[in-house]
Amino acid sequence: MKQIGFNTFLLTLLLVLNGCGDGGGGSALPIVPPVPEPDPSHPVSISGQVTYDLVPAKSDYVGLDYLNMRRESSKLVSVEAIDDVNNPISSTVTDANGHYSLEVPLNSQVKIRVYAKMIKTDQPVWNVKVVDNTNNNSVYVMEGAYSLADTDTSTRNLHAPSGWAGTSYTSTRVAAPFAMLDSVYYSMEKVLSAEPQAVFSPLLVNWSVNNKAAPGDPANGDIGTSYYYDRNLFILGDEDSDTDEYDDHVIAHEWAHYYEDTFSRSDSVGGPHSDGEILDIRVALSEGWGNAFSAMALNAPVYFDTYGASQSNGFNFNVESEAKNNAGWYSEGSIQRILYDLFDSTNEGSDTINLGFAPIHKVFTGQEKTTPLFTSLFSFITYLKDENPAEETEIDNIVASEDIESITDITGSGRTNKASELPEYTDLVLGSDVSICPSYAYGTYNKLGNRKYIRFNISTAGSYSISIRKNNTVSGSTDPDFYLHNMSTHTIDAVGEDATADMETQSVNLAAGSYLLDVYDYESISSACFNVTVN
Amino acid sequence: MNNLIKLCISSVLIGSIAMASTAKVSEPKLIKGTSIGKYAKPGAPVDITYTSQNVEVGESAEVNFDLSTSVQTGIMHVKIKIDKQLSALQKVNKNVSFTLDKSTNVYPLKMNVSAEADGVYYIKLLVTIKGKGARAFAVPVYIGEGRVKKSKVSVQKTASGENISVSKAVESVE
Repeated sequence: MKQIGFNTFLLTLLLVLNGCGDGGGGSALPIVPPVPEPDPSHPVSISGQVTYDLVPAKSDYVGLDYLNMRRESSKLVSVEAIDDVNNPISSTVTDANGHYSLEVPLNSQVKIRVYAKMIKTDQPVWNVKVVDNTNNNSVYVMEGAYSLADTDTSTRNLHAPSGWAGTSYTSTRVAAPFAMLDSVYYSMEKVLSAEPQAVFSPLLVNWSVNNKAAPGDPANGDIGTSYYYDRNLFILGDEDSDTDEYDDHVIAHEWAHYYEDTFSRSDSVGGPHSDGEILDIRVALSEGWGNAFSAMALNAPVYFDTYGASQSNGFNFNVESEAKNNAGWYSEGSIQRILYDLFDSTNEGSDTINLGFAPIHKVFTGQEKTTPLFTSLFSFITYLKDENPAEETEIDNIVASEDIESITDITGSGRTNKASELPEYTDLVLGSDVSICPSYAYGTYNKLGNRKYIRFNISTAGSYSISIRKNNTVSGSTDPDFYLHNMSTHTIDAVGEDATADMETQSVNLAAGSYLLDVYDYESISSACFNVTVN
Repeated sequence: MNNLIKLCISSVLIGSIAMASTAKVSEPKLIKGTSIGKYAKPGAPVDITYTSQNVEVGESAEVNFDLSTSVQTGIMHVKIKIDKQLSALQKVNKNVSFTLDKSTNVYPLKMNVSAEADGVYYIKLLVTIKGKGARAFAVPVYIGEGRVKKSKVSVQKTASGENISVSKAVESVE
């Protein structure tokens, strides 16, 4: 069935109304000129700017500063002209200043729709969408009103309001998805500065006003906290508790984990973390990198995160100059300072180097990605020095300023600070036991000593049994578990998380190659030791 | 209103009350959750593990949460906020502090709440440790069937089949 165009309908309606008079000369409706039909042979240009309300942090970085909300351009977002039967008839993207321009048929009824997505299909390639994970993963869009496309309506500016009404959000938070896209834009821009033809894997930013700090089902908004997982960012939006859409460092930090996943590699096990903690070496690198990258991408060294009633509270730290707290090779604070000093152009103290982003990107996307041991500061600095031999002394000086002896290999040998706690890569011979004893001096789950690393080689592909059994008497039941990392493919080939007390066994098919076992006790029972065998 | 109608209404009311009392779950379902082992943004190194009873409307739900941290010195402040549809059945101290020490890393909290309508409600915590940042938590309390409130924004489909959530822009036309 052919659809009747809006213009035709309007014209007919006006003609009918015009004919509804009583026939008397005095009471006839005024003559309304007929609405012209769309003329595809005469395109008319519609242009404008797309902006959103950006709510900055207060000057002390504690809480959002709604009084200083400002309009910011929406960069590289998709824009469509939608006709009167809701079909797109023209599309484009905004430029770096939020400007767009479209051509539509003269006299067509159109509205402008702006998508919270950035898509580019020729190199450099990207595909980023902000979706409502609590509402069928629908992409956020904002729209203007229908109006006739003629020379009088050639400029249409669209603005996404914050929804803030002085003391609370009282209307739709239209700006939030566009604010998050801007943080992603700056993150991508940093990578493009080093790799102009970069191909970014698709990324979904899952955000909703329903996204709460409850561990559970993201479809209900129970996301736990803001985090990255498997090409998805999950971002909190819970007013008066924790919202992160304007906490641009939080977005950029989590985007840095997307970068690790898609451009580089991280063997981090995640979990809660903060400066001053003595962390598993993989977690320390990953989180220190996330903090440093947020400062690099946003060109702003103060990381902040706001929360609380009216988003008026928050914490912050200076990525470059925060006071040291348990500095060392296990500290995300130390690693963020090292990475930022390597990058930045401001030299001070032991920082006499200005590498910029490209050499860091080259290591992360090159040797670090294929390192045969776990990703850590040891591997990163070893490769950075390898690729920048002229700067070796300057790199060592920055590393030394964090109480870290010169790093010369990816195992981290030669430590003087907590030397006895350096994670060993215990070699396992097939058919023989090795004994390991996790420790919990610095906490549980992702702290230094919680997890033991065991490496072995498979010369013949086949089925192998991995067994972990408690080998001493301690109070309480243990629950040993493991992750098996294939160091040829850099994939996790098996996960042993059975809840059986005091043992974990599993048969797995293994290809020939080298493997790393990450063994830990889920129950974190002090002094428990385990025999590990692979047969 | 005639007596027959009065009788019918009384019967319906009595029936409803009877149904309400017999519809009680014999053993409340226990909802469990934890943040342990999950990826997390920077913030206070604190995890939560909770159990929350799924009870019928008007009944008491016991909610237990353990906050665990590796921090061994200082004070952990916990600000508690309960959804307004939830009623605390005892007086709740909305600002709780724990002195952290080496002998323990688990700090328990417990409360009993109820609600007068089916749904999912939340007890929200904001945990701060000086020098370590903060971390927000929310603990869901399922009442009755625990129906999740759906978004008021209707989903539309574009011509290409993509789901979109449409909001109105502030537009200036020149």
